[in-house]
Amino acid sequence: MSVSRRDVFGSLTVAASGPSGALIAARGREALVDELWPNTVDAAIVQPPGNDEIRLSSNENPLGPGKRALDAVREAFQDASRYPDNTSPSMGDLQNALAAANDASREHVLLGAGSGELLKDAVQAFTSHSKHLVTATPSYLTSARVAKYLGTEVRAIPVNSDGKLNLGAMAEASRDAGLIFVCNPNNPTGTVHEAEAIADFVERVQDISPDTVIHFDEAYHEYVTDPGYRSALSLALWTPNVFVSRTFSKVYGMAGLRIGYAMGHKDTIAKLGRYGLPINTNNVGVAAAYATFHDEVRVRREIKRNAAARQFTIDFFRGTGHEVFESNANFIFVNIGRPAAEMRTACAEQDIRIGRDFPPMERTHARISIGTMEEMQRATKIFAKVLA
Amino acid sequence: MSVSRRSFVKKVGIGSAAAAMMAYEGPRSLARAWSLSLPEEERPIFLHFNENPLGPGSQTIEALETGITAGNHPTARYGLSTTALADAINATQEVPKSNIIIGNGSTQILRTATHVFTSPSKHLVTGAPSYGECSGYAELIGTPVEFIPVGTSMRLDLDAMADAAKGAGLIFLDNPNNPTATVHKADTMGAFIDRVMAESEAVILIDEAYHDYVTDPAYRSEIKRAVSNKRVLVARTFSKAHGMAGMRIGYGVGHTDTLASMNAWHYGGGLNVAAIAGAAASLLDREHTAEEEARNTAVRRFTVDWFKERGIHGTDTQTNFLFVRTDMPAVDFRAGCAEDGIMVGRDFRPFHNAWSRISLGTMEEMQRATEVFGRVLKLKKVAAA
Repeated sequence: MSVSRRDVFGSLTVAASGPSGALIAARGREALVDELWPNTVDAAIVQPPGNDEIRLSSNENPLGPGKRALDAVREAFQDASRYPDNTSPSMGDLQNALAAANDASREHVLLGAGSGELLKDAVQAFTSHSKHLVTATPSYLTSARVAKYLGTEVRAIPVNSDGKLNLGAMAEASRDAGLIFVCNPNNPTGTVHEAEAIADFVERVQDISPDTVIHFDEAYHEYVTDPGYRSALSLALWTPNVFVSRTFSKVYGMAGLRIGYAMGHKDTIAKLGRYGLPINTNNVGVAAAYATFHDEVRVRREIKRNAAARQFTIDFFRGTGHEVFESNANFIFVNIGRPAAEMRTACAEQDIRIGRDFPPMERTHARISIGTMEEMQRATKIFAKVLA
Repeated sequence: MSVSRRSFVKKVGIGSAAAAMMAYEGPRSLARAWSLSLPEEERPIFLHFNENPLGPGSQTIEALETGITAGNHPTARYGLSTTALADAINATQEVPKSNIIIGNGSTQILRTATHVFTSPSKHLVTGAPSYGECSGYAELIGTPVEFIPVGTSMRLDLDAMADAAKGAGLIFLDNPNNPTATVHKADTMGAFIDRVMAESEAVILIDEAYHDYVTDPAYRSEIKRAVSNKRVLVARTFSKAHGMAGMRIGYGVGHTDTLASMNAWHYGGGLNVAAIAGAAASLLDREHTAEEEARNTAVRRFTVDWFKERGIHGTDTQTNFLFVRTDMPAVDFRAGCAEDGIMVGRDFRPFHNAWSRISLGTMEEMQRATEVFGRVLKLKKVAAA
């Protein structure tokens, strides 16, 4: 752990010691960063109520899930003692609803405690000591981390100079692979691949290595503004060995309620499903997701809000001479020309939290999540000072 | 049960749906969704998942609310702090915070332990019948499982389990045991643990999901031993006495080295913000937990006595469910009860031809349910218990 990282987490100590206070107490703060899962490491720790920080560190929705979702949560509290498959709405109701919304049936849908759990399950289900994982670098790390723990070989293909995944090289690396992890849009670079490129990629992988499973992680799907983009979901539903993961943690603003889902060919989903906890999702998250998944008005409003705040922030950085990758998500990846840790520390002193290190680009690039317009107006003033 | 309920049940065909659910694979949610659409007096009674019929206490409900509202949109955030929960466990169970691991239900603690401590060459030892999470996962990952049949009075056969420990990675010990409801006393457990320590290298995972409901004064939790013994691990849940099965939260207690091995694999990202706040509050509300324990004990006494008075006996239950010798196949008992809107437990082999598991509801629910049991089993009061 670098000194600067330590400083960023310095304020945690006992008061808000994160995903596992116990772990930190046991093995020091290093453990928090080194041992925990990337999805929690990724997140700066939530500060106690009253702290006036701006959290641009974890690609969250700054406005939260909204009243309808929270009302559903409160309703679900009354049935807290019933297992989530024995209440209403149940896990099955949500599965059915997500299936119906995508012209599929329940066997095509799997719920997860966030999509992070599904990423883990996929590596367990589809890779082995003789069937490697193909991923990109930098990209979302859960898959690679799980593979490493399991002793599965990881082939991480560097992104192109424009921040986009090198799909050609990833397809080439797929021969005899168990799983290819494709984060689209990619976290942390924010770049997206258009429908045609994705379809070509699937075709190419299936030529080279027909038994390899392709996992499209579409956590940021709803935020995409590129008109050439299309979800791989409809392709996945009817193509063997292809599946998509999605989450309610981003555009729906429910990261703290832990609901994600995977959809794909029913055989792929069945195999994946064997590795998840039998009852992995909770009543209140299920209720909130069920109450709002179809709320297109709210989703559209959030997309528009994010796009405007994102453009404002991109304009700021480009206006001050910093390159920004084309972003189709609720975060941007900026060439700050210095280690991310430096900027992170300096910003943290001003109560602005920005993203963690993303090797191998941590010496030059920082990931900044998009907050509200007001937050970005305040934050960019700090950025200007810090990067001056 | 009133005629109207029965006819409604027949009309919507819940009998067969319930029977499918009882197989533990079908759409379990069906009955609940349906039941909530009924007037309260016509709702079926759920005595099949060992749930708490009343839910969490009012202080816990308040904490759940605070959990989703305090601060800057906590439901939208990652990196949730579990400190409040670790503090509450520390305060109430007298366990150092460094010896605690939090899980997405205790199920996750069971799975993580199975993943980390077993392998194709280090088998799992478990009771039969017992809670099937560890054995199910072991089979999935290619770990051999040695099932040790329960012994006298349906208690876990600790001698035979210790015999099987040599070469094992993990021994799963459900205490009290689900579904047989029996508990092992402190001295028996102590002797068992000593023997396993001396004769093998296996880790013992003691699942104390029903800990709060035990009334046997000779029982003792092994939580203290788990803190100092690298090969003893205890799992607890908020799904039972704390009434939060739907919130999915539990915890484990173990030696720091044991937890370090687990944390390398344990997925910490599955916890929800409401559950963390609610679980902490529930632990601290000792008065409510004491009330819940007393309530369950009274209902248990009523139900056990009711069966005894009709010549039906079960095991010595220390939980919120009964394992009863009905002398009727569980599938038939389930179907008979479901026709009258009472849901009882699934098959537990090899006893499914003569025994059934019945979870305890409220006193009022058990008064209604026992009427149905009497009719299905054709019972008559024979003598005072």
